[in-house]
Amino acid sequence: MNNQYFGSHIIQIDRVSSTNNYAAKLLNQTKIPFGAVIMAQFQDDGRGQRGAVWQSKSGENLLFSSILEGSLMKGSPPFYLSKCVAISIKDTLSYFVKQKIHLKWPNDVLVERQKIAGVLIENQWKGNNLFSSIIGVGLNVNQTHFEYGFDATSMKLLSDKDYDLKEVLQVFCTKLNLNFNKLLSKEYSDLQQDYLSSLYKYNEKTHFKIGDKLEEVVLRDVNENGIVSLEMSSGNIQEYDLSQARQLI
Amino acid sequence: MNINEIQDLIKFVAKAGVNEVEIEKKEFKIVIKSDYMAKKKTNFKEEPTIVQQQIPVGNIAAQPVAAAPAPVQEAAPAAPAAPPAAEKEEDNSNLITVKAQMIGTFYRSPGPDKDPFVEVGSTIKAGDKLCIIEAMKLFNEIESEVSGKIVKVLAEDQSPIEFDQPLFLVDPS
Repeated sequence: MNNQYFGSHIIQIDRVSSTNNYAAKLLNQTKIPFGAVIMAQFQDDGRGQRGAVWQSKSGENLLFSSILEGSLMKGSPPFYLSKCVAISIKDTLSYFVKQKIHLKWPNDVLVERQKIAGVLIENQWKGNNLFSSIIGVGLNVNQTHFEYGFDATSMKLLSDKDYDLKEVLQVFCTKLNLNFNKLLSKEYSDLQQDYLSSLYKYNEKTHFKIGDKLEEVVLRDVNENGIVSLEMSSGNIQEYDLSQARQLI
Repeated sequence: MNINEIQDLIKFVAKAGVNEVEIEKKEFKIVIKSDYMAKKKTNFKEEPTIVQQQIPVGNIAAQPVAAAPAPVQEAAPAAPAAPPAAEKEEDNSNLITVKAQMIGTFYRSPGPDKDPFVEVGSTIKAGDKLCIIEAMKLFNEIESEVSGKIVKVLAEDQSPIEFDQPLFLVDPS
């Protein structure tokens, strides 16, 4: 694989229902190579996780999807793709703004405890074979006003500057290629270290909602499958997945 | 594969403490199930029996240590165990079970307010989407490998599922 897997082709469109849906459609029609990036000015039906809406004003933010050939993930724990993308967003933001960027378990990106990016990864399986992964990213760049009291921020709010969206995308693709090459060459410990060192409240006291209960715990680890290890107030270490526990900001 | 190899395989499967092993080659397919599982599905076409099928999978996955000794005992007389396994295979050879290839949350529709990908009676073709399994915010869209008709949906929408849990029964056309 060459170093420019992601972003070798960039397709720009004005308006689309969602870049992930559009990418899936082009992929089905074999009208798009793996690694291509589809960038939209505006999404009519921008999606977050399961029905969550991703809001963005036209032309102000970076909205794009890229397509990864599934066979490249063979032998790698699937969660590493998620880590890779989150780390790459963090690296991109660090390139442009001074503030410390945090990753919140499992793959949210926060600056000053506010959300700045959203990731939606959809894997397409053909039987037991991963055919493709569509990686959708929404990154708040130049938006300064957020509706509905969203607790969100943007690059412009953090630095008081306007940014060229294509330039931000280029930096992201460079960072993603760099991190993805580590995944391909199975340098997981590098990625893991990078992930943990940016993890919100890593090795610190933090609050998790576990079932119905609010618990004060210490966040000790996130393993290769994304399972979090928490040190409970009793001193015991417990493991949880996302269906069992959520971290509060 | 000769009878000795099959016997060895059964012993191996019993030792490993797994419930089911399926090996498929070009013109050959063998499915070995422990008695515990086989008893649960003597008649594949009887609906309530099919539903129960998921229960042992979940239970055993949750307590692998406790469940392991049972199949070892049962499978010790290896030779007699082989014919029932082969018969079972013929019984359900007309129906295909689509199983979960990962742990996660099972979704039958692309979104909360959307229609299910498939319903009982839906005609599907290879490549059609059947469901989504979410694992750690990775949304896995599962496509069918076969064409046919959905006979039964075996897992509940939005419920947690185990690895290898049966999800759909498909009658291939």
